[in-house]
Amino acid sequence: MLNISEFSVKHSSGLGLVVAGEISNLTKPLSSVCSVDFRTENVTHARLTELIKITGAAVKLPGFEPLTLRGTITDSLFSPSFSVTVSGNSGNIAAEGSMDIRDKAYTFQ
Amino acid sequence: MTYSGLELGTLAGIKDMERISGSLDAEGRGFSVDSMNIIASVTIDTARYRGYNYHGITVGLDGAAGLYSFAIDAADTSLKCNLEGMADLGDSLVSGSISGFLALMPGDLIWSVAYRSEGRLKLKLPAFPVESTPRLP
Repeated sequence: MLNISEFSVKHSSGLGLVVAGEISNLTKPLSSVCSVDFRTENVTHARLTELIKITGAAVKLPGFEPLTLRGTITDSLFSPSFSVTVSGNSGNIAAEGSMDIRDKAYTFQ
Repeated sequence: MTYSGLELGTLAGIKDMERISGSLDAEGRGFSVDSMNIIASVTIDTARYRGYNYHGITVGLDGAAGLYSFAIDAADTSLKCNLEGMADLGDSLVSGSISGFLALMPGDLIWSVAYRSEGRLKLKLPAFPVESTPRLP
């Protein structure tokens, strides 16, 4: 069992990601199960643009107000369920879903 | 998925579109448009466009192996719409059809549409109304 009490990464641009949770049977991915929460600090257009530039991707982001992202990933690593919320002045989104990676099947609601 | 107060105009670069709220559900298998199976529905509870609030717009999509059917309905007092059609994206020759009517009010538009297209990038709905009336009675 891998227990992540809190794992935090912060890019020099100011983008931050915090992850906490647990993953069981990490050495046996087929039976591995996770329960992981994640959240970002304020994501701004400028910060995200800088981060994308570092990856070398040529993506032009639409203009958006600062937002925060928060969510949970649970169940099998190969068929995880997720819930995620995006909140900001450009609007709010709440989504839940699941995915079977081997079967390429998904639900989104 | 629910969305509320989403600045679609800014995010998607749609001129005169303001905030929209509604929901989206999807279930499918595969990610390639020419082979995926998918059932999806989008409900737009409110959409503010050119200063007017439109309500109750639904879009349904059902697709398998590159053959998609769709339906768009709205019963708002300012937007009456009942369109349905299909698109075949599974072949190198893209084809599709759409039929129904679209009436945007207040304004000058009412389209009655029955259009069929074959070939790439030809499926542009409002550009090819079979019948048009300049103003609602």
